[in-house]
Amino acid sequence: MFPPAGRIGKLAEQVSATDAEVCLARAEWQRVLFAPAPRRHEILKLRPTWPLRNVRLRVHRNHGFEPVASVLEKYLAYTGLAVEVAYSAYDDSLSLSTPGPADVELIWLDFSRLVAIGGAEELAAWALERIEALRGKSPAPILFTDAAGDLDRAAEFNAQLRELTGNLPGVHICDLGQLHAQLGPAFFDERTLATSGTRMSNAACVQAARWLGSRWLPAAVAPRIKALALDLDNTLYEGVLGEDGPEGVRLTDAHAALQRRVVELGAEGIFLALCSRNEPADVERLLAVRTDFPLRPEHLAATEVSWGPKADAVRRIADKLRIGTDAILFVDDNPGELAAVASAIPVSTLYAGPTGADSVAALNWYPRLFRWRADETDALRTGDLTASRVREDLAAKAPDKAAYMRSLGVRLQFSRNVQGELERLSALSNKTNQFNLSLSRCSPVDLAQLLAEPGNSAIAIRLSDRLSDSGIIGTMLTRRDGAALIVEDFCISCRALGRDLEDVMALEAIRAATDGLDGIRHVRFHPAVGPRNQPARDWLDGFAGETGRSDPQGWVTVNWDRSAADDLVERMPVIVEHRDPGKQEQSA
Amino acid sequence: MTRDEAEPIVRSMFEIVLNRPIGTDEELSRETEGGWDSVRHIELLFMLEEEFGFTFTEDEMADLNTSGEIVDKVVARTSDQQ
Repeated sequence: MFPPAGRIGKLAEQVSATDAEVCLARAEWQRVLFAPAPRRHEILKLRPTWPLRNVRLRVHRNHGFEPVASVLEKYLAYTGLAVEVAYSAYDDSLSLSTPGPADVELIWLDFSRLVAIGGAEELAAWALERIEALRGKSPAPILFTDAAGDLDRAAEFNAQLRELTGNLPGVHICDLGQLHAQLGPAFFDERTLATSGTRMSNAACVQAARWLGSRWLPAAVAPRIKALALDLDNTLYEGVLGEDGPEGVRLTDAHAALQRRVVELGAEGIFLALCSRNEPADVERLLAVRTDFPLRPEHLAATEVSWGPKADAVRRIADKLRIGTDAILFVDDNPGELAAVASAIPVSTLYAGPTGADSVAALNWYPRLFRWRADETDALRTGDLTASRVREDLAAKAPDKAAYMRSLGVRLQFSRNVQGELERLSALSNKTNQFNLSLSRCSPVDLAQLLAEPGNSAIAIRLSDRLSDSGIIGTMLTRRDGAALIVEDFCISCRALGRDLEDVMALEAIRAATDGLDGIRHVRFHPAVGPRNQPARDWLDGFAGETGRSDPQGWVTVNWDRSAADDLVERMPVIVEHRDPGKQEQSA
Repeated sequence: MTRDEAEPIVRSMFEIVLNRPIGTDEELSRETEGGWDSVRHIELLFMLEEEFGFTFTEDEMADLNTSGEIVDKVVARTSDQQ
């Protein structure tokens, strides 16, 4: 069972630090948490001075996790999470007791104790069966740490495990094998087994806690950072542009590595923006002449260069990227700037150390940057944003809206109940804010459960035009209730907003969802009131129009008239395609 | 390292793992100190190994039962290192 509540209350009583003080305290933690070889005694000294959100971690294990847990607590505190750990008994059979709910289920195994099950193939099949059994008991994300060299043919087992679980929603294999490869024989320490219940060494436990606390657990329970807002002077290079000039600032090896890491994060779908106090002309020249910089102008989704407050610049970056400031990680070498920005707006901050090397480590380990697997839309985001600026120019020059739309060749594609798209649809449900109608925040497991019922649908909406391919930018989740189609949620990425496509997306998604369902006469929505989803609620008001009906329970009902929908869509200068579910592979 | 040098470092490690201030004259024992369980014990030894750069033997891990014994062991092992 989880420990009784109360611990968080105590923390909350201690919290009185201002946002600026918290920002600076967190900068102090970086040196300890992101060190090349983090040390237990330095980590355990850390005490958070900021409020933490509870996360319940249930550990199903056959060896000790406690030497990891104490360190993990600090890494998660840096992320803003207070972990409560509930342990199973040491259980080689993995009987999976699940009293009460958990936010994350962790399967933590010493595979050397499981050789009786068989070789790599038998063990992988057993692991899959246990994971599926756990899924039957708990909807929470399941993290499964793979074999860390404690098994003959560990690599073969790990590969098979990944293959078998690749399509299971909400199941993630944690690469402990990689940590074993880094530490080598130092991963194990047989001296400690009798005392700690695990053969993992102190170094392995501390590093495993870092992987869990900085990458795996935040990726399971916290929203990902959407953009980096990067200072220039003494952050991305050594020197001061205004004094040294574009040719005089120095790209050290460490700063080159930092820029490469930044570019890497950009390729993984994180927007990159510059936020600098400099002369705009100087920065323009810097970007033009320093072709040795790995970070190139085409990587940048926004550039804010001025002598004004950086908090204002970060706000403008957020507006340009159509995201909240709280989804931005602001990186600067000046603690004063970090504190000033943190005290003005909700934002994550990262102190860039003077050499650049610290910043590389920090961007390797900063929580909420890791993602489990590549998302096809990750690489499309920056190009999509650039294209949106070209679209604005075209719209201004086009004689009318229809001509503008036709010139773009807008194409919307709808697919229904495709298993391989559920992770992306879940990401949309969890990440969109402005156009998220019901705020249902569905996990991949929730979606899989939705689709287990006949007549329910998860519609994916893809958008492209001649300027860019935006990938899957919207989803509608539906179920049938008699003559009504219930829209459980309707979410559209902010990248696809402002193009007057919401109605056609809704109508065609409803068409896809009602395909094969006879007798649907109404569509019912249940909008939720959130802090940022006014655009979605405004859209519904307009969509429902005068004929829509609202009831005191908050339901909005509109009549479903397929032919009227056809007329409206036909008038829209967009190309609509429905992928035939019968011909789709991996259809759920 | 002398006992006077080792003692405050060991005490500071106890304060971290037991999460309470430890008096300078306080002698701690695994028998009487409720929070000093096997997990805290191994954490304490890991931290001392990190700090002083030596490793305890398996027997030492099992047999060190008081703060005084640990200070003595640290003094002996750091002297061996020199």
